[in-house]
Amino acid sequence: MGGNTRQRAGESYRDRVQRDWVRRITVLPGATLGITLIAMMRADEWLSGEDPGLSGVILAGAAAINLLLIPLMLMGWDGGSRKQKRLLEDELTRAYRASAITCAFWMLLVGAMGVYLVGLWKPHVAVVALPMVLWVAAATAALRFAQLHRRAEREMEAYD
Amino acid sequence: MTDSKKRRSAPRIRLGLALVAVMSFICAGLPVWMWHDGLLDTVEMSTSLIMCLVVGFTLGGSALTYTPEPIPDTGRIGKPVVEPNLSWQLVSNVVAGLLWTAWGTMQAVSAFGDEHHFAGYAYASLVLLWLYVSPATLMGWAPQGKQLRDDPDRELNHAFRARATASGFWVLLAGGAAAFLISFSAPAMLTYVLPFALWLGGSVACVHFVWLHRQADKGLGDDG
Repeated sequence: MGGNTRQRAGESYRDRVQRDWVRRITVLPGATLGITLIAMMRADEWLSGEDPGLSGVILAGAAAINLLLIPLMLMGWDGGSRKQKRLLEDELTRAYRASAITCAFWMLLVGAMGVYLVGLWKPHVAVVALPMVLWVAAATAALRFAQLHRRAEREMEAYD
Repeated sequence: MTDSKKRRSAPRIRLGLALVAVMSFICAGLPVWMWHDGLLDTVEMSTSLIMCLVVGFTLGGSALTYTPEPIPDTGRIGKPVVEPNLSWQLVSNVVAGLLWTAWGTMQAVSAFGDEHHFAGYAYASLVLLWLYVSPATLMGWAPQGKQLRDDPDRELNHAFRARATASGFWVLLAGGAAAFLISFSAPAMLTYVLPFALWLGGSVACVHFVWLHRQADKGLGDDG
């Protein structure tokens, strides 16, 4: 514990920036889960005719766009990450990002295939489930990236 | 098995694949004949016919593009024969994938509409198989793609694959979000739109990979 504290105290500015960035990426899926669930419920109400107002559609659209934020941040294309690109981008980050995106790509491919099969049987259920599949894929990318970063940090600490 | 033995066995493997492909094409006539004699209805006939044709085309394509391991060098530095073969396979998968997706999606929805659930899921599985083949080849999981792992430019392939997969992921994510929004007007639209979003995601990944390789080859040509 004490060793870890000393290690953290002695870490470079770059390490601190990277750690904060990874922390933000880890938190983002949790933050977007709420709006995804609300969008699913509103989509269900809209499709079943309980709530014919446009607010449900707008909220669902906003949730779908909101989901793009997670990979956007992971790729380093958001405003904050672009400002600190010099500190965040290195070979290891690029390798972890590639692994995370590949993982998410397959998760999304398989998930969307499952939704398609369900959609043939019950289209209503498939439409409601689709935001969750998109969220799971985006969250997989973020959490896989964070996991790889954490593992590297632990290994570095053990090595030191 | 030694390298020379592997190369010697290649024509036999190619011949075996071609033989099964030809047999599949011959078998494709069987459901048509059974349908003509009233033993099968139209949906069952077309399902069986398509299954035979898919096996025939897939194995025929594999026979044409099969390359024995290890990859024989064409004589040009950094330009093994497997990469053009793989590029052709990816591009042909993308084109064939569009045709099968368009045809299979319509048939699956139509079969479900007519209460032919088995035929509907058979068509849907066919569509999903094609949608899986292209990215699987790109990842090196298909037999032809496995040879890419022994490529002398493995690092380069790895980097290109990562960039291509990222492109595919973005297209697939945006396509999924678009399919969700489009389906609000009519939930049944999802079964038409989603397969095309899946096809587009896989295809963008494959085409981007081929394009990156072409650019690298061009750069190599300019250098030397």
